[in-house]
Amino acid sequence: MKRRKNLPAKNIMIVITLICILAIIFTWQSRSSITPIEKSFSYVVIPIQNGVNVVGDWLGEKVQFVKDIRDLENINETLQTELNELEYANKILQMDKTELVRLRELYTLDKRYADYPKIGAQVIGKDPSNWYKMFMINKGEKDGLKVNMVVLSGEGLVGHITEVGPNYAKVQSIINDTCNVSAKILRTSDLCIVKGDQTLVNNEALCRVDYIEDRANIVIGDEVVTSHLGSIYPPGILIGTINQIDTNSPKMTRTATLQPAVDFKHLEEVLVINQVWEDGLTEAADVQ
Amino acid sequence: MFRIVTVIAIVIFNIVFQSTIVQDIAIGGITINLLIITVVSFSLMRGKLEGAIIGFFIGLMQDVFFGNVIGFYALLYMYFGFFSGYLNKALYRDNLLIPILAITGSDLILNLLIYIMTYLFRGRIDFAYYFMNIILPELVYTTLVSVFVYKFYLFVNEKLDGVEKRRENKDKI
Repeated sequence: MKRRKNLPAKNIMIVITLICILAIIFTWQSRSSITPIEKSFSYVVIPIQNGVNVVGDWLGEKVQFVKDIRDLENINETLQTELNELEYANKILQMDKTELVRLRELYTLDKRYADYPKIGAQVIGKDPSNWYKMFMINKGEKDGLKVNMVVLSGEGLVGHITEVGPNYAKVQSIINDTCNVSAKILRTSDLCIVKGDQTLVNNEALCRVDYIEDRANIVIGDEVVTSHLGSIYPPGILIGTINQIDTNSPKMTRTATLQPAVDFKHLEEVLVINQVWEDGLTEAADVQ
Repeated sequence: MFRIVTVIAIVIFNIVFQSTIVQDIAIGGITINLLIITVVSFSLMRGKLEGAIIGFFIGLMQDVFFGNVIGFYALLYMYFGFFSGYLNKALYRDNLLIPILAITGSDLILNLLIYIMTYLFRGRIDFAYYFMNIILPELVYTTLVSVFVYKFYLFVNEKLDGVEKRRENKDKI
């Protein structure tokens, strides 16, 4: 009896192995089109995931609430003084803003990313392994999301959508090891590439900036934004600030590390630009 | 039948917990690998065929939701389920040493394979860094947690055995 059982087990293993290898080969290039099997999985798992998240968040909130009460009073005081300062700063900024609007009109520059159409979404799951930085959001095809749409948070660029299901979408963040973003340094307009690098992600989630021109006059604290050369990302979205410059690189170009504007450790809500950049998002922005 | 439903529920909850709650209790950005614990535990308790099946489906779920290609993790986890099933016979029920060692070893090999297949092939050759900062912490963390998770699965398995025995007896009568 046992012998009979052992033999098929091995045969089944070989068959499944072959099927898996075929699946790997077929999905290597075009992963974005989602198969019916995947769809059916998502109908079961996503609702549970949403539920677990709700329960987890609720529990976390309750625990945090008790913890926070003591701190809140201190924070309140410091915030009050800060508020006064900020109100003052705000007035100055508002004056600057009216000036800016005036100057913009003069130069007819109107490409702030505030103009791109956006919808909000929540992060519901993260990559199980420690190797990649992918996550899932709770909006999908039904909300009009498509592959290659750009994901932002309040502070700056998060990443782009690599796969869309009926009720979820997978987002590859810019700190993912396989991610490359064409960028430019805002102050000097020097082009560069922002790359995800696992060796920089572990402790504080940094990115590598590569191919900076050797003569480029960059300093620590320079802001890096997406460039006009990207095929996925619209130009002018803040990625982060330069945090360290590698001076003795043997290459013709320089590298640096970048502190993303987004806090990837505590990412809960994101914004999705619900129009694909290649499909004439420029025109939409220009019309406004 | 009851067993199948339970196992399916465990597989689904594994992938859900792994991507939500486990991520929240990560220490220093490193999470435990619940999936390999489940696959190896069930393989040790139930033999290589069941281990391979559970491994395949858990891997497939991870591929579908988080993988870059379909089939990569399914293949890996299936083989882990299959080969740790060979330890099935060498196992005393209450001895924790072999299961924990098997889980630790599997997690180590799994991460080495992931590194070689998806990092080394893209020219990321700083192995020492990846080993010290990703593989080793995950290994330690997973090993510690696996003690409790394995005990839990042992308990579930015993309950399932009990239910099945009662059903069989009823059928005979």
